[in-house]
Amino acid sequence: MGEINILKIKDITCYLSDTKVLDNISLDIKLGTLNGLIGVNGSGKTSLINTINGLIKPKFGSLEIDNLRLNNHSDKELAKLIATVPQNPTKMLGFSCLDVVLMGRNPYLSTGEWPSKADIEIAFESMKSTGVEQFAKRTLESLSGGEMQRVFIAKGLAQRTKILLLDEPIANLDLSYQIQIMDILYSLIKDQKITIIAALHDINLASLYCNNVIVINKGTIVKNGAPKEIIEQDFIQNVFGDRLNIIQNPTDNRSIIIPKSIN
Amino acid sequence: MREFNTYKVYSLLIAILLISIITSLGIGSVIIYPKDIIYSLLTSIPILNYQADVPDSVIIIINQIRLPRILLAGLVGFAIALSGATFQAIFKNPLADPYLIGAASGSALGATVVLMIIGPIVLLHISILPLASFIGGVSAVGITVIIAFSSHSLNSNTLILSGIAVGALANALTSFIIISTDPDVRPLLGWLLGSFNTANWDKVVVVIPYLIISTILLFNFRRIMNIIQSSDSEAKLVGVDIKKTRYILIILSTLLTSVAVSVSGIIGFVGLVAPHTVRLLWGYDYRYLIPFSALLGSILLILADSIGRTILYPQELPVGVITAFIGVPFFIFLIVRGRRTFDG
Repeated sequence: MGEINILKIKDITCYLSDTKVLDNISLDIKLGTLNGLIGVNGSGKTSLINTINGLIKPKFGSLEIDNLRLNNHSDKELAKLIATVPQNPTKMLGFSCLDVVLMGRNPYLSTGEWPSKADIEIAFESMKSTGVEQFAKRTLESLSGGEMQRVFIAKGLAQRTKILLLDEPIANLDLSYQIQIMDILYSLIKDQKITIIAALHDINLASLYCNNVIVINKGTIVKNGAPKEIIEQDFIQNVFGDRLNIIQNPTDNRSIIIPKSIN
Repeated sequence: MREFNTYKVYSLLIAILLISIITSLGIGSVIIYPKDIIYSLLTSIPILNYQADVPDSVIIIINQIRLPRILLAGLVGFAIALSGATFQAIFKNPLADPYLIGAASGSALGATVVLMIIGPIVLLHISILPLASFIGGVSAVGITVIIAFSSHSLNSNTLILSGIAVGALANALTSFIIISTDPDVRPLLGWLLGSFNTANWDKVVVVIPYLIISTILLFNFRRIMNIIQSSDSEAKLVGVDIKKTRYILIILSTLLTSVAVSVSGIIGFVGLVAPHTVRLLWGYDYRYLIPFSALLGSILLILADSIGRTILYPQELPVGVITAFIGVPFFIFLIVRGRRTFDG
């Protein structure tokens, strides 16, 4: 696994109004891997995600998915290649979870067309992958934050894309839900060979689950590699400040980052 | 999630609609009983060649006066409610109503310009009045949206406030044109207040083609209307061309309002009351919200017009006055409740 590059980003530079948010980024993502996008607030994680999914048009550079260069693809064609779970998806009032997941089938439906039996089957399969099929008839707003997030991931899966992007999927969730979501993402790359790029705040969770960690700072990629290459004292201090320590977890020898003690 | 049987709701609404039509046909200056109404209606179907044992005067009242008026009220109610529900979908704004966002006043201005200055123009046997009305309506909505967008937020408050401002300006221009071109303002004033007292079969025929086309197209967008209730970027991420969709929907819903205004003047609040009653009873899914609102709009306007023409008999109250009496308390209720549920 992993020798095929599903996504190739070449020399991308992006502006939002007049501010340069991504500066000459190049990145190859291997098929079927879980990639953690790490960086402080405002470093460019969301900009990179929204450039890959087409919400932001890069000023320079190119994107290739599955050896297909992206240019002038319609919204629908793009939605068949990449699915995105944005940072704070709309909690759509009055809609059932099945309704919301079925919206992920839109790229395959024409304007006046209603989801077919096959679309509903795909929606249920997607909900099974994230363990929310029992909520199909419930309204979205009746679910907890973690359950809701799993419904939004199912909506992304219903798009049946090879690439799934997630912007801070575990922010604002309790630790137990964070682990649950990360377990789901891990099972998706293992069982369904989906390629995932997720912006994450928690370096420890990222390094535990991800095959690859990309550290982004001020719009440029400062490191890209296996988790154990990233968690290294000097580098972490450079990017995240000097109040952090790296220790070895005695049970499995994994490096973990903890805040330095006070004083 | 509200569970309901779609067919039962359709049957219920259609039954109420038919009862409203029969009742309205019966009441007025002369009370006509359902049996005579049916007989009169049968005589109007040419192939039946039916000879009714009913006085000719009754047949004329039913077939030439009341039936076209009631059908027109029903079609206009259908159009306005459909237009209101669509505006609410486009702007994700529960208070968006053709009257409140300036579409109705703009349409009235367009129609007035043609009526008072240019005169009635018929192209290929179709009155262009609805088109003139449409140009006025689309311009007014365009200006409203531009003003609301310039405040960098398309929330309830800015959209409705700019709609009211644009509507007030359009109304002022309409009054100016009417008063400066014709000293006898009463007939047009009655029309502006929203009225069906000039209803006839010609007007019914004018409305139908526009209504059929916009209704078919709008029904096709019901699934997309659901999707655009999420954010613009989320809709785009599942492949909805949000800009194009918004333009198409604005044009279709304004067209519906304009056609309604061109035959009946400005009738407020039906576009608010019908969709929100449907939301309260049967939920937020536009798949059902659109058709149910349209049917309820028909029922509401037929009943409102019947009240208007009978309650102060022999005087007649414009239907717009009746819908305002029903609609304004409803509007206040939505504002008070809206702070909790859906403040943009």
